[in-house]
Order: sequence, then structure tokens, then C-alpha cells
Amino acid sequence: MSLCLRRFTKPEIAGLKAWFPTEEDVLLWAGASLSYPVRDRDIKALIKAHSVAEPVQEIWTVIAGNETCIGHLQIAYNHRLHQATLGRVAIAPDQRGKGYATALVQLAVIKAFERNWINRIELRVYDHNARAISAYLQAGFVYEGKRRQSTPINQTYWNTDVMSILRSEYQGFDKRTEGE
Amino acid sequence: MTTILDKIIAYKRDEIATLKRETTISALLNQCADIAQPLGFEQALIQQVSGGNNALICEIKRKSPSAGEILPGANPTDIALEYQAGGAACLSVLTDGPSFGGSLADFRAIRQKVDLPMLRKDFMIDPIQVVEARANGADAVLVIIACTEDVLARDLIQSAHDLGMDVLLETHDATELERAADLPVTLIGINNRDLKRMVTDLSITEDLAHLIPDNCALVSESGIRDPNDIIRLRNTNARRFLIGESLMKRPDRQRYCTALVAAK
Repeated sequence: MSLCLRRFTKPEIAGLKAWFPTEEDVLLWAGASLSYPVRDRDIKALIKAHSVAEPVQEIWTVIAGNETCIGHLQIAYNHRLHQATLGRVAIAPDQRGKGYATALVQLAVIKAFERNWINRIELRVYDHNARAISAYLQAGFVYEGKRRQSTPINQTYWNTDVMSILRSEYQGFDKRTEGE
Repeated sequence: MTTILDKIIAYKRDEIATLKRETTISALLNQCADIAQPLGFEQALIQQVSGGNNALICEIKRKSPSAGEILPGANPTDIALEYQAGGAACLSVLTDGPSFGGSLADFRAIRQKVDLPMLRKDFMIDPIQVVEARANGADAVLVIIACTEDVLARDLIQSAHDLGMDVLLETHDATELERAADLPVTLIGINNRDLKRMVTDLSITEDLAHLIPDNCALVSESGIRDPNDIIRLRNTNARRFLIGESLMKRPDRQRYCTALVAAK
């Protein structure tokens, strides 16, 4: 499955926002870090942050071989911690159920570890999001712990699972994959 | 008014909260990787129907809110083996404890002895239950549309499909069937039992069968007591039937099962 990353651009903002029509959709995608409805200026700030040399924040469109947009992801980098954070991962609504999720996450992992000072990639995912968790596990992430009742929603709370992959695991994982 | 279904959903939420304290989807998915691939639930039904017979999904349940204790002291695995010998296409095993006396331990015990595809029948309201079903050897899960918003129903269905399982989507009225038509399923159940009042009426299938989308197969569920009921429901073009209580109570389960498979 041939996927690649392309820098996200301003003309794509409206299309991306349309992927998340409800507050719950936005929460599931971005956590509480984005307001609902998603504001253009928040996305534009990310595009601007990505435009500098050695950005600490990247915003990507995921493209399939035939130039079809199949997803979206963002990566934040922390030099002090030697850590990247993968977040706001989404498959385009018309591309779901086609088996892209694991390849998309693998692509993000490869991108983050291209910076040779990155030792660890972390992500957070709501603990009922089985499809996402499955993709992260298949890409080599391991479960680290749970932030209990981390997010209030509709008179209840969602829990957040924390997952990560270390460079040493990635290198081992990569070798295993190559050997198959 | 609080219905039985409302009460069940309320304690399901507590069960799920407990489950999430004890395990994670990650851990359950890792368990799934170590067990045999799912058997084709829908495929087993198709095979039986294409041979000209009725395809039975025979159910194991110890008790129910409407019937009370069905067969006290019975061994679910022995009953499942009788269903298998009688020609059942698949099994449905209740895993709800408080209302139906079932458990995943029952499910696993039957899984070890019986070769038929098995559906985990429970009240699914969180994808972790779907993953838990696969981790315990389920080949299919039941999704009751009355228990779920469309977004959740889709999530449950797709989570099951990701794990290679089939889904039986249960409906009870025209509105639910309309919702079902927009969901990615190919097997739709019409429950003759009103889950809110717990009464059964075979005319529910007769009234609604024409609303099943062309790309989906119909399973008529509940309230089927004898071969005459099957013959009656075959007039709606139903060929797949989920039968529980009436079979559980028969002393001659295996022979009766064979008669239901052949009823025309």
C-alpha cells in the first residue's frame, strides 16, 4: 500500500472540517485541544508553524498512490524530551474500512523517526476507539497506561489510553517486518 | 417509564467500566492475535440455505426476563452438542449474566467442544465488548440497533469486521430497519420479541420482511415454537431463524432441531 505525506494547505481546511460534523467527532479526533466547531485560525496557525525550518509542529495530508487524499495526521516534536507526539490522526470518511489505518500510522512513525534525535513517539487515544487502537498496535505502539475519566462528554467521561513506541522497538519492528 | 432494556443498558455501563479497569482494548487485541481465525458465520447460514434447508441459529440461554429460569442446572456445552448433531448452522450464546444467566466462561466452554460458528449475544454499547468477544473465540456479534445511536452502531460493526467477525444487526420495527439500511451489514435480524415489553409476535417478521434491503439476508428471531411457525415464516422468504427458549425446553432437542431444519 503506497502512501505518502504532503504538507497540508489552506485550501484543504474546509474539506478537513467537514470530516468532523459533530462535537463528538472533533473530540474523538483532536481531544479537547480544539474547540467545536473547528476554527480556521487554529488550523492556519498549524500550517504556519509547519512552514518554518525544523518545525516543532507538522500538519500532513496523507495521499494514496493515485493522488487521492485518504487521511490526515499531525506530529509535534519536543527536543528537550527527545520525543514526538502523534496526534489528530484521521482517515477521510470516504476512505474508511479500506485498510489504510495501519499503513498511515506506520508512515507517521517513519516520518517522526527521520529526526535522529527522536527516541520516543507518544500518542493518546480514547480507550473505546478499538479501530484506532488496533492500527496503533499493528504499527508497533504499546499500551502504557490510562488517564481515567480524562474527558467529560454527555453526562459521562471518556478514558484516555497512552501508547508509545521507542526507537529501539521501531528498529526491531522494522527488521521483523522486513524479514516477513 | 423505565423498560427492561433501559435497566440492562444501565448495568452494562457499569460492567464496561469494570472491564476497562481490569483490561484494555490493547491487551484484548493482543489476545485476539493468538487465537484461531473466525469461522464464517454468515457463510454457514448461506451453505445451509443453498442446500434447500432452513438455517438455524440455535441459542443457549439459561434464563430470561420473560421466561425466568429456562433449564436450571443444564450444561450449556451438552445442549450445544445436541444442536450441532441436530443440524444447526450456527450457535448464539448469551453472555449477559444478570438477566440471562450467561457468561463468557460458558461461551469459551462451548467453543472448545463445538465446531459451529458462534455468535456472542449480549448488549453491545462499547467496542471493547466486540474485541472481548473475539478474544473469547466469537465468530460473530449481535448489535441491537435499539441500544445504539447510528455512529456507535457503525463503530461496533466496523470494529467487528476489522477482526474478521460477522455481525447480526437486530431490528424490531420499520424505523429501525430504515436505520439498518444505511449501515454496513448484510445480515439483519427481525426480532419478533418487543425488547421493551418482552412479548413475542411472529407477525412482526411478516409485516417487516419486505423492508429488508436487497443486499441483506433476513434472520427471523424469537417466538418460533414449532415447524408450523417456520412454515408460516417461510412465506415471508425467511430461511434463517434464531431459536432459543422453545428449543432449550425440549427434551428431544436434537431430533426437534432436525425437524425444524427440514420444515417446509
